Amino acid sequence: MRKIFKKHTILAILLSVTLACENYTDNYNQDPNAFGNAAPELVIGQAQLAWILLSSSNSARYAGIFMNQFTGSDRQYITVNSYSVTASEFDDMWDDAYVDGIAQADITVDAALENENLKLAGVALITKAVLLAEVAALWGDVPFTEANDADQFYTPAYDSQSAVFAGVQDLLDTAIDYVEDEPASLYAGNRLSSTATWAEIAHSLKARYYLITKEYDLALTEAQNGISTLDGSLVSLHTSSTLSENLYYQFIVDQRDGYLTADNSYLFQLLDSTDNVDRLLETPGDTERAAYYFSESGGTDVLNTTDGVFAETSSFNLISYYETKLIEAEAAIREGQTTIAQDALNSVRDELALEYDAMFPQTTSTGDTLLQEILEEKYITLIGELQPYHDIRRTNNLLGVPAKTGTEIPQRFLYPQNEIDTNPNVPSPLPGLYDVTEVNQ
Amino acid sequence: MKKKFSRILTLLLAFIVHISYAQEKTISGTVIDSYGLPLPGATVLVKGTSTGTSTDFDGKYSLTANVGETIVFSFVGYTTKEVIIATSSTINVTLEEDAESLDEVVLTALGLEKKKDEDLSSTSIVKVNQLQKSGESGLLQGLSGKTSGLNITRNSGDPGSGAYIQIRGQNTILGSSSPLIVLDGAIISNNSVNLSTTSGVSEQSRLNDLNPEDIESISVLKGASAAAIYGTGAANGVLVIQTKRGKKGKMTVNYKSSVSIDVINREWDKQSTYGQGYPKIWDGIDNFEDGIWLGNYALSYGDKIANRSGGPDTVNTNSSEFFVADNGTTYYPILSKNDDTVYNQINRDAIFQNGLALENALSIGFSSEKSSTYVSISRWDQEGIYKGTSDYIRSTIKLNNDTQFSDKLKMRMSTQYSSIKSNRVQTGSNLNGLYLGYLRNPADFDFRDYKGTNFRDGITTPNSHRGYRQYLGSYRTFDAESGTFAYDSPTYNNPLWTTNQQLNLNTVDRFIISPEFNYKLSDNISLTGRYSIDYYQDVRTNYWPGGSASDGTNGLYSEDRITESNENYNFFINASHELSDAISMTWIAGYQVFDNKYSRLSVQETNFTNPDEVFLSVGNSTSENSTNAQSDTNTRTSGAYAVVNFTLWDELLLEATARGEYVSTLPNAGLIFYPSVSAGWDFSKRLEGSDILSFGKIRASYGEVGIEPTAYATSTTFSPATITSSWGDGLDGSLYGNPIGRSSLRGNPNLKEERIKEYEIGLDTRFFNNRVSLSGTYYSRTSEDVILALPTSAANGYSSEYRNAAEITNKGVEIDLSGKIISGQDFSWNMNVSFTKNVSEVVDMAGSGYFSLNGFTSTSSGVAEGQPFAVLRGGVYDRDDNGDYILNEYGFPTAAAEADFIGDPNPDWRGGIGTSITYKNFSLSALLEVSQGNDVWNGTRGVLNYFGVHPDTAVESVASQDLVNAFGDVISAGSTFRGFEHDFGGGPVAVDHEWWLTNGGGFGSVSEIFIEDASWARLRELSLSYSLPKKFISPLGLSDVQFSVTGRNLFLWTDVEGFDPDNNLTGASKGRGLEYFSNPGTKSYIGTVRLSF
Repeated sequence: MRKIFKKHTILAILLSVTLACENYTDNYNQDPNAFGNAAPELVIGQAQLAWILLSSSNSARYAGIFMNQFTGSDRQYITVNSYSVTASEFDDMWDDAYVDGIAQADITVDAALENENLKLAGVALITKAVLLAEVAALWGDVPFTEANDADQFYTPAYDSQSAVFAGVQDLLDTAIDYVEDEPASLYAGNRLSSTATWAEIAHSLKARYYLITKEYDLALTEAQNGISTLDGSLVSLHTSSTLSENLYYQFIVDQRDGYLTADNSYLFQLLDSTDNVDRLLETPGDTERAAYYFSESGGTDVLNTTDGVFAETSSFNLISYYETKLIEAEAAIREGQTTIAQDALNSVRDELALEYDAMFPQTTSTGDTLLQEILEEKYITLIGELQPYHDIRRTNNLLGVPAKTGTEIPQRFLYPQNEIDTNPNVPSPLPGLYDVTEVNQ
Repeated sequence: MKKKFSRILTLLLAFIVHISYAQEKTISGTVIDSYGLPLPGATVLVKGTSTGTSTDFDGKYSLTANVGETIVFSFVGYTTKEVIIATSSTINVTLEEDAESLDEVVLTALGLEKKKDEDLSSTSIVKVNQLQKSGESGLLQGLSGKTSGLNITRNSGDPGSGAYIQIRGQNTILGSSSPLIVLDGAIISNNSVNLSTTSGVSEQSRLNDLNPEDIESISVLKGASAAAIYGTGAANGVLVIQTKRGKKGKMTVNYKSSVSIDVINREWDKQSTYGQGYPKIWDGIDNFEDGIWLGNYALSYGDKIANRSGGPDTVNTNSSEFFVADNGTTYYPILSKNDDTVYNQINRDAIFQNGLALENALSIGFSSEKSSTYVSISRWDQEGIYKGTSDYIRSTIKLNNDTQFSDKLKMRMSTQYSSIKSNRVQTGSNLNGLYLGYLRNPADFDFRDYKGTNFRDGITTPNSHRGYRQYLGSYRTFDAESGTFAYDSPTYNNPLWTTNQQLNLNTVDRFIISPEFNYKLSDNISLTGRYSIDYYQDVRTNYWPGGSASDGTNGLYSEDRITESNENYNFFINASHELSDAISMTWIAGYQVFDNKYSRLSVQETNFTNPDEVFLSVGNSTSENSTNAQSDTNTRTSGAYAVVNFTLWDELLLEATARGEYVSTLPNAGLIFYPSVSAGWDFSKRLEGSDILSFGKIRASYGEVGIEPTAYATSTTFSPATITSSWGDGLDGSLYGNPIGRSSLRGNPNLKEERIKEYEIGLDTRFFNNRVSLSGTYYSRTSEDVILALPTSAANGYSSEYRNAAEITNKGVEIDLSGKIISGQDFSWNMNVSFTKNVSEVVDMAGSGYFSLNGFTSTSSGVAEGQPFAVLRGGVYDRDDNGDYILNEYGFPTAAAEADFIGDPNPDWRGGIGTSITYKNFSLSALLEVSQGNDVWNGTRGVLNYFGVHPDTAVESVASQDLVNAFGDVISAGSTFRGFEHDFGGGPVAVDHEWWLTNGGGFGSVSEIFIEDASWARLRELSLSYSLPKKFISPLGLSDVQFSVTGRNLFLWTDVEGFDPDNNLTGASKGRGLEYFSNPGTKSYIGTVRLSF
């Protein structure tokens, strides 16, 4: 009996020790390596970095190869050069845009509004609008109204491409209200630079997306309210430190030497005076421009990463004065306003003449020739940017840029493999690379 | 009653015989073991009588018996031997150790001994002599093939390389796949930090920090019920390791010295026909036969080397750029390539050598009346198979002490210290990797002059790096604005630069201390208290001089300081009761808390300020180029457990285990409870008198164990942001105002534990007087609520979310058969066979299509619903409904836009056959291992095709008709081209460089063509040993001198090309079956001497 009593006592003690020791494990799950929250002034920066990434990283390189500005010369990029791409290659672009960009912009907007900091909310809305618009321009129908609300919409539905662009215009309108006349240096940190106001930038962006949706009258008005000086262009800033260099430079020099070149690309041929591909608008200054764009390495024509467009610390245009003016020019000619169109194109040519200290003669063309000259100038001037790729698809390749293989230039990016794997709302059947998106139909 | 009667009868008969032959005489002799060591305390009995004695300290005995009587020699753990008395009065006997002894014990999860015959689980035990035969530096690798149900795959043949260990199938996605390791009661780490990357160095496994010579036995607890007392953390089974301890008796000294020579065991063939360069057609020349030499060019599609004029190249000695190698050879720009030497073999011999490992281990065991002690020291000093810095030095000290303070109180102290110094070599998908630069090197480029001085436009670059993509070496310019040198360097490292100029240093210091006190409350109840701490610091330093490839272009220095501690407190009461004549009971009740701390502090500097000296410290770059990172975790568990055993009528065995615990990583899960029950029936007693069956037991068990999530998975966090594309270009937030963003991984406060439910049934039998034994187990386990960072639609704001989302099943069979075919005094022959089959399936993935475990964007190993665990997924060709290729305009297959499942890296079955033959003082043993049906993605082969280095690309054909290649070039009928004709379904086409450079090569979108059947069979071990006869060594005071030679991995049979499939690119990770320029495997020749005093 004593024995049994002893045993029970021991068990009882053990049990009580156990229960008491729940607090041995309590409060040991606070992550010491990360924060629980952050002020919106800190979060906006990440959304802006995502904007830079979407504009000048892998999506821009793929678009550049698709539209024959560049050439994929090595390894996987040879396959890209033959337009043989797979869904998984688009995972990172989509993920960077939504998770690192749109979601962070949304967090900023919500917190800024809660703090009644409308200006910050406006800056964040501009960032969000751009990312959504570019995603829609590249992929077509994409999640918009149900995006970035994991509690309610774990697998967000897709909005039509035109609905996304309409929504983007609304976002930009709200943003313009919020930012008032604040300069673009506000909340730009050492990431972005422009002497314009946020409102002007937003107007330029509105013009860009009205152009994509072929609402040329609205595009014209917005462009005329947009960026009005060369240094009003909104650009990314880069330094020589690792992971802050120009993204093209990082890819071409640091990461994937030889993958991306200008070898025999259409853009190279357009600027090269020694072959038989000539520009519509004769431009002697293209010799100087070609030297800024291209160089030679081991017998191959490559992109200039030493003292040119993609040098280590070269800024990259997110939305530029040139683009704004060329939108104005195209919108004007499409609206039948030839003089405005000519003036806009010529003001670009004049600035280029100053920039390259070379001859960029003015145009006197009209009609379809002028339209093609405008598109050609944009194709050349906006090197490495996404916009000329949107233009080619919108205009049914009016410029006649030759495809890398076959006769067609890819009409879209493929929906990413991750999205196919995780979201049952992804369009079905999945569109192919040459299937035209809604706004270009 | 019947038994008693027969015994009386025997006695009676013996008595009669005794009277009849009263030729009594004195018999004496010595009893020794197979190593020639005396066996003190062995029982010597005249059969059928009560006459007997036991051997003295020197194994000697003496007794009186009659001629014709039989003397029986027996000793616990050894086979019994019978000798009939003839004329000789001296009978010396050697007793063999009995692997399948009746008294074989296994260790339970708590480290308590249990007779295997009474064990209700599928636990098996690996003993000291089996491990010693392996000749491996690492304990993990030494376990390979030793028991069923255990899968060991080494990371590579690099010195100190770790291994993957998996008991049964993979159960978990985020949790560790390693079993729980319990070393003399201490829970110790088998971490392999950085294990999941496709680049870096071949990682170590922390279990290999132990000196294999210190190990007495390893019990492999495979089933959930056996592991159940540990609850969370025991989901992958348990290895209970017992180290050697001092034994009662005289002092023993053991010394081992061995030399091991390592040789690369599988190599790639490279073509030797075509030089560096590109096809002629690319210059518009209508010739598909060969190409044009071009220096610094990546590919080997150049001219035919044999067609060159021979002699030195024509060079431009007036060039403003040239390179002077360290040996004085000057290299100028090549104007015309004349050299017709093929350098494949010369280059190979410049980088590979025979590896050499020296091992010395000394141990001393001694005891006094109240205590016994075991002390050992060891050193393993290994140089790898590359010329350069690849080595691994492990030194260990061990001290084990057992002290009996009183009749009731006993202390058991186990301590050890390990020190590791290693220099490692970059591997894998890594422009600084050894194999990447080595295998892509063209046949006509001599890479031996890898270092020198570059002169360029009047600027001198010392320590210039010369490789095939920059044959005049790396050069630099000084950027006055940033105050740093900017290097232009070869795209790929020269392999000699990788091994000689780059340092990847590693030191580990590790202490394991585990005191245990045991107090006997009464005869049948004892109380045990255990504490243990396992603490190590792992310091990793990388130094890549300026001029290295990729991230090392302007110099890179990094240091990682990793510390981990595992503290374990365990108290339990252990009691036994005879409840009645028929029922006995034992029970254990205990309480355990466990605390794990992990801390990693990392610093990295790039763009060296002063790149001209090896500088292994921070402060050699500007602050923008100096980054640091920290990651700390602390997790705890606190649980109580109880085990109850009943034995009924000596036949029925019952066991029940329960554990309840709190886990710090699951603050909202409350008390987590794991039950388990087992039952067994020992039916041997029903078969008494059977000549065939000597033992039989059937058993069945059901158990639950669990896995906790990684720390801090319950909340979503905000961190400074760095965003990159999948190509590595990106923006570091700390250089852009350090913005802080929300994590892309969503935390989940409602997480609960992953729960593994397993039942197993098994049979343990022995036949023919215990000469043959057969065990078999069938198990079926289901992992429920498996936690993973479930990929989600990025459009919802997160890339992934922690969820209890998956369900995984593993079902399998394990069979072990062993037999003593011949068991004589001078000659014995044993065999054993093991067989393992496991079928895994991911049953549910909560709607998410795929989760990548490891690998690349294009090809990875991951989990998906309805697929085996670690299934390979990658790009495939587009096919129509009939399964035929959808061809493009040129008649070549096209890539499908979406990825598909392309291979299963899990073997259909694994098996091993071991045999050992002993003849007098000689012993020969062999182990053959087989793995069948496992697939591998041979990424290296694909890439060698791309580069035109693979022999498949060096064939020449004559076009039978006008052929089109993948680019649309027309090769006219009758003309010779480099490549071959192939019909993909649309008529013959020319497979040539255009196809290998796109979807027919390793950088295309299609990976299904590089899936290979990686089944293998290998002679894992072959060992011959000889012990010097006693009469020679006894006068020297030695009790044993043994010489042995061992071959490891001597033969490998496999269809897979170029590498040993017993390697894995991503090391000990869950992703399996990936190969991409990983450092090669080795075979070894080992010579060993053992001395015992």
